[in-house]
Amino acid sequence: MYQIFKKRILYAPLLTCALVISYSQAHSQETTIDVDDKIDELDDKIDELELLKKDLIGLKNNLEKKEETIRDKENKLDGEIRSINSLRNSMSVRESEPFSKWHLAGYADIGFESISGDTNDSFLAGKFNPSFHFQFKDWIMFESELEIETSNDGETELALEYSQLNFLVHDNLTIVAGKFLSPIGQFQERLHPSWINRSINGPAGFGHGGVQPSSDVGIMLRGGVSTSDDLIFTYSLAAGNGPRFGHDEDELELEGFGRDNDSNKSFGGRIALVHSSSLEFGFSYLNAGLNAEEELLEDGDLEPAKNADYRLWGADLAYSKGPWDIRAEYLNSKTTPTGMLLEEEVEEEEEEEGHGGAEPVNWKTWYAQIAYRLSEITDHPILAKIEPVVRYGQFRVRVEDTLISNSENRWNFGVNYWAAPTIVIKAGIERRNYILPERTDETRYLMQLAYGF
Amino acid sequence: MKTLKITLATALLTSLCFSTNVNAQEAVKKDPMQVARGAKAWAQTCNRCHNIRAPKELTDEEWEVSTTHMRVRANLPGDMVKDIIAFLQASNNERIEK
Ligand code: HEC
Repeated sequence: MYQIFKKRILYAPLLTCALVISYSQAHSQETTIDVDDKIDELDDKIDELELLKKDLIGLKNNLEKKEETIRDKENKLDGEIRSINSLRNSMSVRESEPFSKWHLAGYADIGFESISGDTNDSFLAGKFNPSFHFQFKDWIMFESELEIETSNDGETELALEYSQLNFLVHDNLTIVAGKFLSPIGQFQERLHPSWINRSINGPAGFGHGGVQPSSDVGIMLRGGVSTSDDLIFTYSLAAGNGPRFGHDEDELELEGFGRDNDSNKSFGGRIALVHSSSLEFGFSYLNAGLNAEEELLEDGDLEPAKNADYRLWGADLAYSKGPWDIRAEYLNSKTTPTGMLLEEEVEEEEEEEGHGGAEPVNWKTWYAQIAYRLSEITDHPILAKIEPVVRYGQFRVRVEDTLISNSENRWNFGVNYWAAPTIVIKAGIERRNYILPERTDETRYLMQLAYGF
Repeated sequence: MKTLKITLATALLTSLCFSTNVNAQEAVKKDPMQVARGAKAWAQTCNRCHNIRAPKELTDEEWEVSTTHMRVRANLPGDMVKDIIAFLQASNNERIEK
C-alpha cells in the first residue's frame, strides 16, 4: 500500500511537470505568432517611416533652398534699404541744411484820406513792398525791396527801394555794397515801413523833398559791438554817389543814383549807443559835393553850372519798452555854394544873367512821438490792442535865409488797433500849420491798414 | 614754420566746419546755455523797432534768414544773433523728431 502510495507521489509531480510543459508549449506557440505579426507591423511602420523620412528630407531640402533664396532676397533688400537710407540721409541733410536759404517778406498798406478845404476824399491804394532775402551759408546775404504804388493818375509806379549784397565778414562787421537805404537817422532806415510806423505817414521833412537822402549807391561798413553787458555800440559808415541838385533850388534829388555825375562822393553814417533798457541814442553826419554842369533849359534859359557842399548832421533817440514807444529825431542839412565867384562878381553876373548858380539852402526838421499800448492797463481783448499815439514836428526850409512855403508845424493824433503784431489799423487826424501866411493850414483825416509779412 | 602752416590750415578748416550752420539741436547739445542767452537777447532786442513776432510764425530756415537780415539792419553783434536764432529755432516746434 505504501509502495503504491509512494509510486503515486512520485508520479504526481511528473504529471504536473508534463502538464505545465505542455501548457507552456501551447502558449509559446501562440506568442510566436503574435511576435511575427508585430514584426510585420513594425516592418510596415519602418517602411512608412522611411517614406516619411524621405519626404522630410525632400521637404528639408526644399526649405533649405527656399531659405537660401529668402536669404538672397533679404540680402538684396538689405542692400536696397541701405542705399535708400543713405540717399534719404543725404536728401534730408539737404532738406534741413541747404546752403542757400531765402525768405520772402515785405509789407502792404491801403488807406483813406480826406483833406480840409479839398472837396475830394480819396481811397488810397497804398503801397505793396515785396522784399527778398537770399542767404548763402552764413557769410553772404542779398536783400532787395521793390516799391509798387498806384499814382494819382492811375499809373503803376515801380521803384527799387534797395538792392544790396551784405558780406557778413565778422561778428562785428558787415560790408554792404549796392543800393541801400540811407543809414542817417532812425526814421528812414528803421521806421518808415507802414507796419512799423506808429503814425500813418512820415513826419514833416522826411521823404520826398525832405532833409536827408532816402538811399544811396555805394559801399557801407556796419556792425555792432557789445562794449559791456548792458551797452552795444553800433556804426554804419557809408561812401556813395551822393545826392544831386534838383529842379527847384529848395529840393535836392535824394534817391541813390546808379552813376555819379561828379567824382565827389558822399561820406557819412551814423553811430549809436544802445542800452539794454532799450534806450538808444544816435548821431548822424553826412558830407557830399553837389555839382551840376551848365544846362540849357526847355524855355531857352541857360542854367549856370552849380557847385555846392552838402552837409548834414542829426541826432535821434528811441525808447521802446513794454507798452511805450518813444522816438525823437533832429536833422539839419545845408548846401553851401562852393567855387563861387566873389560877391561883387556874383552881383555883376546876376545883373547880367538874372540869376546866379547854387544858393545856400538850409533844411531843418525835428519830431517827437509817443505811443502807448493799453495792454499794460487792461486785459480786455479789444482794449488791450489799442494804442494811442501823438506826434509833433517842425520843418523849416530857408533859401538864403528866407523861409520857403513848405515850412510847417505838424501835429498828429492817432489811435492804432493791433490785430496782430504786424497787422495794424490806424486812424488819425493831422494838423499842418504852414508858417508862411499865404499858405492855408490843413487838417487831414486819415485811415490806414498795414500788414507786414 | 611748417607747424604754423598746419595749425593755420587746421584752424581754417575748423572755422569752415563751424561756419556751415549746425542744426538747432546739435547747437543745443554743444552749448546748452545758448538758447537761454538767445531768449534774453530776443526779448530785449527784437521789439526795439517793431512788435515782436512769435517764434512759431516762421520756420527754422526763415528765422535764420530774417534774423540775419536784422543783424545787418539793426547792427546787432553776430554772436548775439546766433543765440537768438538758436532760441527761435528751438521754440518754433517746426521740426518733428524723425
Ligand atoms: C533797428 C530796428 C530793428 C530791430 C532792433 C529789429 N528789427 Fe526786425 N525789422 C526792422 C525793419 C526796418 C524791418 C523791415 C525791413 C524792410 O521791409 O526793409 C524789419 C523786418 C523784420 C521782419 C520781417 C521780415 C524781414 O526780414 O524783413 C522780421 C521777421 C523781423 N524784422 C524780426 C526781427 C527780429 C527777430 C529781431 C531781433 C533779432 C528784429 N527784427 C530786430 C527793424 C528792426
